[in-house]
Amino acid sequence: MDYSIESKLGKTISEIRIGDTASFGKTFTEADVYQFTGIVGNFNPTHLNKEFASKTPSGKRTVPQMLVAGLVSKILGTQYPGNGTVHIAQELDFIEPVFMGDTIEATVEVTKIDGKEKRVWFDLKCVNQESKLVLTGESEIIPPFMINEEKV
Amino acid sequence: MPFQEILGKSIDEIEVGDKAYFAKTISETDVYQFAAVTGDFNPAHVNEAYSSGTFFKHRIAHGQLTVSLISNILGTQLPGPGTIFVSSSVTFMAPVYIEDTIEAVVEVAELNREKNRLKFKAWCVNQKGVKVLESEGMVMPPKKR
Amino acid sequence: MKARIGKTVDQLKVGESAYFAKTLADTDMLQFAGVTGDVNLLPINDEFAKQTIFKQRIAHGMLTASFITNIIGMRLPGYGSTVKKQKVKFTLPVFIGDTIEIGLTITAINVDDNTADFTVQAKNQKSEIIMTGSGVLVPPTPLDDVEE
Repeated sequence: MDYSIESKLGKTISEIRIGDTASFGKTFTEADVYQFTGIVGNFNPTHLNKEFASKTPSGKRTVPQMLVAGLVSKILGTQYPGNGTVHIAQELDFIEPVFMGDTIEATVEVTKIDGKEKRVWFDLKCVNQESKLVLTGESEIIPPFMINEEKV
Repeated sequence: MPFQEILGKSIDEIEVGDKAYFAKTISETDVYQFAAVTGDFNPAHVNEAYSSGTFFKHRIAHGQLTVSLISNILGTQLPGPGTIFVSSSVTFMAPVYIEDTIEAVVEVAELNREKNRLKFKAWCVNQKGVKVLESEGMVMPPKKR
Repeated sequence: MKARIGKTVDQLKVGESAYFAKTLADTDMLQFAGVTGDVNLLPINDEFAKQTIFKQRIAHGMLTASFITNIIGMRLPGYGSTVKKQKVKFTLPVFIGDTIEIGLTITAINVDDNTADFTVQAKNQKSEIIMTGSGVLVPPTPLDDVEE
């Protein structure tokens, strides 16, 4: 199989511009929560136990924070820059809890490009269906590049 | 599909000595999904580095995962759909490793036709013929109207 | 049913640590890709990954980072905890079959605003550091204090 990644690679550093944005929104369901907690082994009753959650201030089971944060991974890895993106660092500020049934829209924006070190920084903002800010953060990535390009 | 056709064997259709089988190669995914569903993240099942330093040398499947192959047989073959599980006990005899192929066997040991109770014997063997567990228990076969 | 919670802020100790380890399976990576939607070819396509500097599929950084919440939610502080903020750096790639061990340490406790600072470090089976980080977590508060 003559497989070349050139056509499948996401945006390389020369194609990335400060101010570019990309978004993705998703409704977080019980299925998402149960699958995610199963992968990481976090069986915290705040996510999985209705009786427990009913005694908390919100009264409802919450969606694991890292599952919501996973939205940034999705955008960077599949939309902008896309395939071949390598995640280097991630800062997250969890502002409001997210509940099962909430729809969260995540938006990333290019804030800084280091052409020499081949690094790009993105701001992250996540809002819920009531336009309330639930999560902010900053991502540092290595944008996709062909292997015969300068090594990082 | 008519309800009666979904149901498994009623007690009149079963004889002492009847047997049924189910076999599966236990994959890493099976073990990891079982951990995910039950919450049992005992490192013996999900940590190869830890397991290499134990008596078992490699990750092993949860005992209850292997035992559940028996309830598969009871619930889908002998007696089959409509069976009510009453009780069981199990003895684990050998570890089950990821990629072992396990065959579960259920054999009818005793029948109480008046009370609609079926006593079964069951066991699981691996691809080397080693018995990994033995079990016995009681079920109520479905009643046909 | 009694609401069992983890350690409250006054039960935490500076310097306290807890660990979690898991051998990363193909199913972990594929399920993470599925539940987050991150189908970046680098973690899921062998032919694609072969032509990158890594030569093979590497785990999503955020998957490794997500295991931190196992420790916070299950052990330290435990049930009822949440995270306020977190900063992580992915220092080495993680491959299928690698065993990742994450250690979390409480570095400061703020009783007044019910938070605690923590640091994290993750290593692979060769004891190479694959992730470092820090953050602020919120320990659980006794649920009986909550007004219905």
